[in-house]
Amino acid sequence: MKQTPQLIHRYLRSSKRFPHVWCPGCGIGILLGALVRAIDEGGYSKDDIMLVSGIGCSGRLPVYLDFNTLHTTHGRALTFATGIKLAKPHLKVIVVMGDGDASSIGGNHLIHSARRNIDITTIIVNNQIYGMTGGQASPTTPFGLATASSPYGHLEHPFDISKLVEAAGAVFVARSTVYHTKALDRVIGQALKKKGFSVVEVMAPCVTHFGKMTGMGSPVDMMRWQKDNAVPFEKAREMSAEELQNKIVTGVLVDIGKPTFHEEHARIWREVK
Amino acid sequence: MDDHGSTGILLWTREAHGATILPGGSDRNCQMNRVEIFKGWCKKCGICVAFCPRGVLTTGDDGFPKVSNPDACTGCRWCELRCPDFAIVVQKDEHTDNA
Repeated sequence: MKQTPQLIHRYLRSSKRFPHVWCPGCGIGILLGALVRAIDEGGYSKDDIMLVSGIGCSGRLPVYLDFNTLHTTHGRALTFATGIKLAKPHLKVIVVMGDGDASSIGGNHLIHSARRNIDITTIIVNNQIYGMTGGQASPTTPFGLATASSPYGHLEHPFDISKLVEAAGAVFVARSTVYHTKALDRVIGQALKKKGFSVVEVMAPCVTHFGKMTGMGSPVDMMRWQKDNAVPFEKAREMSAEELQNKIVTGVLVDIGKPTFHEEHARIWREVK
Repeated sequence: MDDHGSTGILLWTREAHGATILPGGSDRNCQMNRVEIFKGWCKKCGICVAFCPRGVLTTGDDGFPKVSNPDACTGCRWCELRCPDFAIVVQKDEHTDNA
């Protein structure tokens, strides 16, 4: 594993102002490091990586990285990425979205990209709240939590993003927390290698808003919560639904083989010719 | 690499690369893993201090992490991996075998 100074010298854009914009202790910063390490370990050329993001705190991530990057409109990162992948199939297309961006504004794009099984790696930063706009309830906000848009408690039940994309047909689904950084590096590496629609759901603390709403407050408290409440997938299979309440099931949840959109397209092309 | 803007990247890497020059010869036994903190990028979140398994770091009076117990560092690099701001690096002494 390369050291941080070597990695930042190689992959970060020196023309952007650092330190980056995210709040102190924000999980997206840790994810940025994990993504860079996974790409470096995978030995990809910088010119072959295409990083696409939508809107939100996580939308800022590609801005700092010296790859081919695209910062798109809210929820539409996957649509832009699909177009890029169809036009330039040799590119390794990576999409970074927040939980609101992926499952609310771009919810349909997410499930249909998974169904289509297009060869894109999607990283969903799940901080369980709309962080950039001031702490409103997102589709992954826990039931009952008081937020800026639900001061008396959130009345809706949250999406399980990993289960959603699994049901929609993703061939690789993994979940990790930013606390378990080495595991996060590993699953991102696996997702990058996987052919087809791969998803990594990253549980990242939003210290400023989610922390305030839940009373956890400090980045250290939130990371400690992740440490105490993460359950490996293998162990979770033996636990009941009650035991798994408010727990984060981590690890590789789905890893199956299925022809990608490109492979099917090539087959049709051969048959029709 | 272009150098416009007050980015700190060049400054950071220059500082950190400087620190990789390890003394050799007779000084070798005194050399420990070295934890370097780049205050220009640090946001004082406290994650490195809280999760260091050996208590190498403490919070200084200015709020920045401080290397208080350098001898205890095993070079596990958890502070470096979990830092959201790329502001800490462990220069591992290759001659020690205590990781």
